[in-house]
Amino acid sequence: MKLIVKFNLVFIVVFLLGLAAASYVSKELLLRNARDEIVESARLMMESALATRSYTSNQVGPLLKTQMKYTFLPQSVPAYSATEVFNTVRKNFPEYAYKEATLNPTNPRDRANDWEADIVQQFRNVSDKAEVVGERDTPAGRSFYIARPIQIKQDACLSCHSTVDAAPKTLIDLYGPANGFGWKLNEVVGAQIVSVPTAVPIARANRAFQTFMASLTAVFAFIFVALNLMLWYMVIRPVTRLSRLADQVSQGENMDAPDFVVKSSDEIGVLTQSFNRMKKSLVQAMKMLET
Amino acid sequence: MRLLSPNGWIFGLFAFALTPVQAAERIGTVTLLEGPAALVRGTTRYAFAEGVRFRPGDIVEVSDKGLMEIEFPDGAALAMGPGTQMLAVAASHGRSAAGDYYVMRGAVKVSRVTKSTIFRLVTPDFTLQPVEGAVVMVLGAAEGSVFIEGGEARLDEPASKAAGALSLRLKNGQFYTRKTGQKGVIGPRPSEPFIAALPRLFLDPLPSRLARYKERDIAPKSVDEASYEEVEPWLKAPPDIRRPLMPRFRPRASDPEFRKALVANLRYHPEWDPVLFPEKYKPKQPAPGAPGVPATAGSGPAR
Repeated sequence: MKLIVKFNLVFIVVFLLGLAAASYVSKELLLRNARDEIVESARLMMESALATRSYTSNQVGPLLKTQMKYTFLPQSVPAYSATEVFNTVRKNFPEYAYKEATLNPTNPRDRANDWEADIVQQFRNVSDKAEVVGERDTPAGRSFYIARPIQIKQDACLSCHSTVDAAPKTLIDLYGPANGFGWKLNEVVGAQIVSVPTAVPIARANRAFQTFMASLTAVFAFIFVALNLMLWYMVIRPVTRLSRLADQVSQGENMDAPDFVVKSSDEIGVLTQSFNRMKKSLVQAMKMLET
Repeated sequence: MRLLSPNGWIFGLFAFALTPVQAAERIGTVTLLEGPAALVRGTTRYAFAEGVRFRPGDIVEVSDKGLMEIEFPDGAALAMGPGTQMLAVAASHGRSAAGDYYVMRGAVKVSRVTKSTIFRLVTPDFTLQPVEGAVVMVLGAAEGSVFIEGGEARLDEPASKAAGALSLRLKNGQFYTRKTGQKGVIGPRPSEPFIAALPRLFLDPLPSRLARYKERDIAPKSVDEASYEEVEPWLKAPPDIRRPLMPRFRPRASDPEFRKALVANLRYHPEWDPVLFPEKYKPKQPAPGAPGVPATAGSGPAR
């Protein structure tokens, strides 16, 4: 088996092993990063929702207190403002979702559907449960969700949600007396649920993986070609020529051939110089024998 | 205690309010003005500006797109919406905000009223006296409405064909409305037309800007002598309002245009007849030869 074949076989085996290892490590890393990104996005959205709720409750609500005596303004309700803010976000990112899913909401759009109600029940059953995370299939693809309980911790909440009689009349005018009442202090009435699509970050990770692997393969291919060329010009070709001449000289042929031109001082150059000296010595010895 | 009917006490207060001493007394400061608003002080028409002190006898006309707030030393505030026409009938005494105002039409909000504040808003349909908190009032052509935004207020309804005089105590959140000539009705919350008629400012607590005008007494800019058209609603107001205004605008009767308009509308304000036609009211000279009248030299019998 020729040297170059041996060399290439070894090279290809090493390349394939390297590629497989790189593929495994990079894919795991990218997918883990994608999942971290999904969780991070969901948490960021949840914190934004909490910040919006807090801002509405502490700053917007008091400003609208007088206006509420004339007309009920849902803009003063933390849940409404958080949902509205995310509805605006959804115009550019329709796959993302935020909902204050409530079992008995004042605003019908907040009513929890089946899977959301299950999450609310989890919080109701385990009082100290602070967060629920999971994944589910949706028509738009797989989705990651993070949920936190909505618990009535302030008496102020009950001013609108305890009884119909205690609620502001302007609220009844807007939403009617049927829903959103009977809440109790410390009761978990719903859950804030943020849904983030997993398809987008995963697809992004897959694209990054493919790009990385293609780049790695291209680098290996380039190295393969470069090493083969170097091996051919620097080792195989001079050694082949040297070997052919040595073969001829050993049979007493072509003894007058000119010396090999030495262009380098590497191992091949040293071998060539040694061969030239050996050939000269052999020619002189042959001449001495003839005389 | 039952309030006197508007027609009863206003007349008396006018004489008091328009004395020179009272006229000089400041009862409030204009601290917020949006759009033009006219002031008729004496017989002269002025343009309001922020910082102008409000005086008894002042007639205010807020333009159809204007808005004005007057603040008082004790923190009470009175805001007027677009198209409001109001006459300051009486002045305050001391630091506490007080005053009697005749509101002909428009929207008025009285805010930050304390128990020491004595405001009386007299309208053709009722008299409103906020006791504490904030009240909002809208007066249309044939209907007047009041919403107690906070606190409470007393409301006196004069007798009408539909019902006798009535005194009510309106509580926080109650809405009172009365169509002219009918009995008033109390509802649990303000009607949509009422809310729609309110300027945006009225839906929020009235801002307090008195501090920036406390040390500045800005004079209103004189525009012209008030024409008849400009004070026409007041000259044609109910008798108890318009009659005390006659001596005030009497000098304007020497203006030919003003006089001409007075004569043309005399049936709406007959009290001006003696001013316009004094000769009709001079004692008549008895006819010569009448009993008790001595005969003149030329006409009597020769001696």
